[in-house]
Amino acid sequence: MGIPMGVYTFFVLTGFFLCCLQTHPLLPAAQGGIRPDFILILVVYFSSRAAVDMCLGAVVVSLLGYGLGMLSGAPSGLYAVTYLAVYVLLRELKRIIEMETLAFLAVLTGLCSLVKEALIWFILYFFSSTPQRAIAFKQMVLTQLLFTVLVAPIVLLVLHKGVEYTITGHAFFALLKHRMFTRTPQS
Amino acid sequence: MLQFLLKRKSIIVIALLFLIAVTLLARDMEKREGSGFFSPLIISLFSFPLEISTAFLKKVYRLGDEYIFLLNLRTENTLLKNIIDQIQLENQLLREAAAENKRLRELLAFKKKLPYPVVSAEIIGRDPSGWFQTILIDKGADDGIQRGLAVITPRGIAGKILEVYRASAKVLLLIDRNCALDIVVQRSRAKGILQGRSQDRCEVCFVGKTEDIQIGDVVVTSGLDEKIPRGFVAGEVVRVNKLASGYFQEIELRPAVDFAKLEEVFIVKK
Repeated sequence: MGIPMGVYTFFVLTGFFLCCLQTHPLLPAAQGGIRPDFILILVVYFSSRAAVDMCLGAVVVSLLGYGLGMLSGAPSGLYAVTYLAVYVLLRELKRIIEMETLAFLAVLTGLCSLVKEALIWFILYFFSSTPQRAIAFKQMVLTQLLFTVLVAPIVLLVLHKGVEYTITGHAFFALLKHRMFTRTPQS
Repeated sequence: MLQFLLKRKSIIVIALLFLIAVTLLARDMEKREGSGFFSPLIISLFSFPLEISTAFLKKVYRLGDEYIFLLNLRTENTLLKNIIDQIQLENQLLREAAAENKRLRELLAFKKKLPYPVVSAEIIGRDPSGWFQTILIDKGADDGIQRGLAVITPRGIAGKILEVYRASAKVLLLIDRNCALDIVVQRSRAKGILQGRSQDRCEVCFVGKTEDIQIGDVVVTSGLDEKIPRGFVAGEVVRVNKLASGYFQEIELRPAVDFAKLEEVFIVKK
């Protein structure tokens, strides 16, 4: 049994909010404009939910990547490709590892950050007309990882609670609908 | 007789006491000078405990007064601290307003000096990752913004318009690796292409080895770009390296603009 559509909507709306947050000029940034990757945290959490449909999940993740790419100076599709790659990797990993605890997800976020940055550097190095040097990768990757892992627990907790409330709310309205529109048998 | 006296013992005693008192009273009232024999004795007997008790009570009252005073003082202190905190906060806000006022006056003065029409814009977003250096501004096609226009600050050129939307635009900053700008060294008129490298460094490429470039040289836009006027300061040379091989020098530049502190920019509508 899958999760209700409301949960997917919740993820999309949360992704929109996190994109705005990540782009906000007042968000503290490290040297070089490095900011925590909120969208990656969302992708990690989203991928860890077993009830998420593989195809629908991939669509949501791609949309998030395109959305972030629009706000960035990145080539179109760069973030869509990287987040999608992270999503597929995590879904495959979920078959062999349980991803239930938020603490484990926070650690997993750090690893995914490494993977994502390496993937971006690889794509830019081999396919861009102005390739990034390895030194740029080294300068960025640890700071990005640290920032992201630092905020991951809070974001994961908020996401977890949000999904719970969305499912509870959906169940409540489903029950209400059932009671309103189902005839009671006459005694 | 004795029995008579014993029966009225209390009356007799009281009467006797009255008699003594009246006698002493009469005697003292008659004699104005001197206090007699008994008074000093009685006074000296009472003065010591009176002194002690008075001094003790005075101290108690003083402590009470001080305690109440301190209580009031604490209340007054708290009130004054709150007032000071409010004043300090107002002071900070006023300082910020004064700094903003000064900054805006400088921008206005700068805008008036420019020979080209400009549009001022505020930064509403920054690139979400560290791989690219772009910003979002709050002016777009509706304000006459076009792709490729120069984005400047009073300190120098900050970048150029990368993408234009209806009410906003994306600016590619000078420090982005994808940014390329045609520049000229102000002193020697050597030409080159400026490319972004990091948050606080750019590189000038394709400058021949024979060109005279020194540390401290100011680099400005050449005007060869279609939409970027000449003369805007790009930065200052901080390193020059003439390699043994190759045709070009390696020149490192410190941008004139502090990109970490960008808040307002101008778009030059050439």
